[in-house]
Parts: sequence; structure tokens; C-alpha cells
Amino acid sequence: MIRPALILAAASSFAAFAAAPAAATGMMTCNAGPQSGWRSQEQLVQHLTQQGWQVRRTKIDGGCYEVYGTMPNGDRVEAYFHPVTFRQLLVSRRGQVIFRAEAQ
Amino acid sequence: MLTPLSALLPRSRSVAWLVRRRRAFGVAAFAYAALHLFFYALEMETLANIADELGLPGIWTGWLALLLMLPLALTSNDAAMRALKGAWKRLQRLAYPAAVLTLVHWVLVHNGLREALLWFAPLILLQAWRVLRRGRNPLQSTA
Repeated sequence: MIRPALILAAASSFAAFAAAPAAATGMMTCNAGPQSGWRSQEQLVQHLTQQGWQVRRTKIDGGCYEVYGTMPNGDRVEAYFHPVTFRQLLVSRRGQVIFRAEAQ
Repeated sequence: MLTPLSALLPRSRSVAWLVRRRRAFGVAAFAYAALHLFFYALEMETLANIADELGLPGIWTGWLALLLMLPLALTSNDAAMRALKGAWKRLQRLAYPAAVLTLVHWVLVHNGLREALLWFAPLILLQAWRVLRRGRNPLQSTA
């Protein structure tokens, strides 16, 4: 009984790991077409900085640009932007969604 | 974690090795949590910023977990064990709510169950086994 239990535990751990794709968190998805048509992450940083943001990190998640930074009001947030239009799609503060764009 | 593990594998040398170092693991867990708080504070820059976020569920669960771990770390020495006697064991059981709060903190802040559950899988499975075994003939578990 001991071995099967341990194997099951190990297998389920690996299954959970294997099932998790490295890139997408599922927080937000953008269907923005091929990346060749996207504006750059540098442009997004510039756009946000002009609005008073402090950007710490940007990356791609679910086909959107995901930004870690501080909003003009001082909130530390994680935000999603459309990579072509730079439309703000979702803002989450420590896991609490504080802004969600209406569906287009 | 080690109680069900040593019940599951009573003759295992590696489990015995882990059990002998139980205090070190506990203190290390607290040290890790304290370091985690240190980097959080660095990122937040000011106390006002930290206070501002305190009410968010993803944040206060972390604070509470750390707060529960504090007395455990402070009493992780022979003198405290002697002084507290039976109460010491009861106090150390705060590790369970601390673990649950840590999981909730992780899931909320990183908005995803998967990774957190991956790391908590051994603990969850061992505790589940412990609960399931309760009431059954304990001799069957070594078969």
C-alpha cells in the first residue's frame, strides 16, 4: 500500500506541473494576431510612464502585455494591455481585480 | 508533514533523518518567511504603502501566517519546551493554520491555484492520508 501511495503522490505532482503551460496564467487572453503586428513593449512602457506609471517589468501573458508596476495613485499592480491598441484590459492589486474592461 | 510521513514509512532512515532535524526545518521556514517579508518591504519602500495594502485578502493572510509562525520560532528551543510542557505541543499546532493561510496567501497573490497546489501537494496528500486512515485499523497501514 505504501509504494502506490507515494507513486500516486509523485505522479499527481508531475501531472499538475506538466499541465501548467509556462506562459499563460489564464488571467486574460488577447487575440491580437501575429506578433509582427504588435507594438513593442518599450512603446507600452513609454506610454504608461507618460501617464504617471512606474513600470517594473513587462512580459507577454495570454497574448497580452502584462505589466508589473505602480499606478499614478501609488497602488502596486499587475495589469494587462492589448499589444496593438494598448487598451487597458485588467488591473489586479495583490490578486484583487480592481479594473476589468468591458468586452469589446 | 513529518507526523504522517513517519506513520507511513515507520522504518525509513530518511524520514528518521528528517524527524531529527524537525526543529531546524521549522526555524528555517520562519527565516524564509522573514526574508520574504524583508523583500516585500524593500519593494513597498514606505510603511504607509504597506499599511495601504494591509486590508487586501492576498496580503493580510500572509501577515497572519507570519504572525502565527512567530511564537513557534520563538519557542523552538529546549528551555521553552521545558517551560511550556504540554502547552508547547498545542502551541506548535499553530503550524497547521499557518500552512493553510500561506496557501491562501499564495493562491490569492499569484492568482492561480496550479503552482501553489504543486508545492502543497505533498502536505495535502499526507494530511488527507492521515484523515482517511483515522478510524481504520492502524495495523493495515503497514501492510
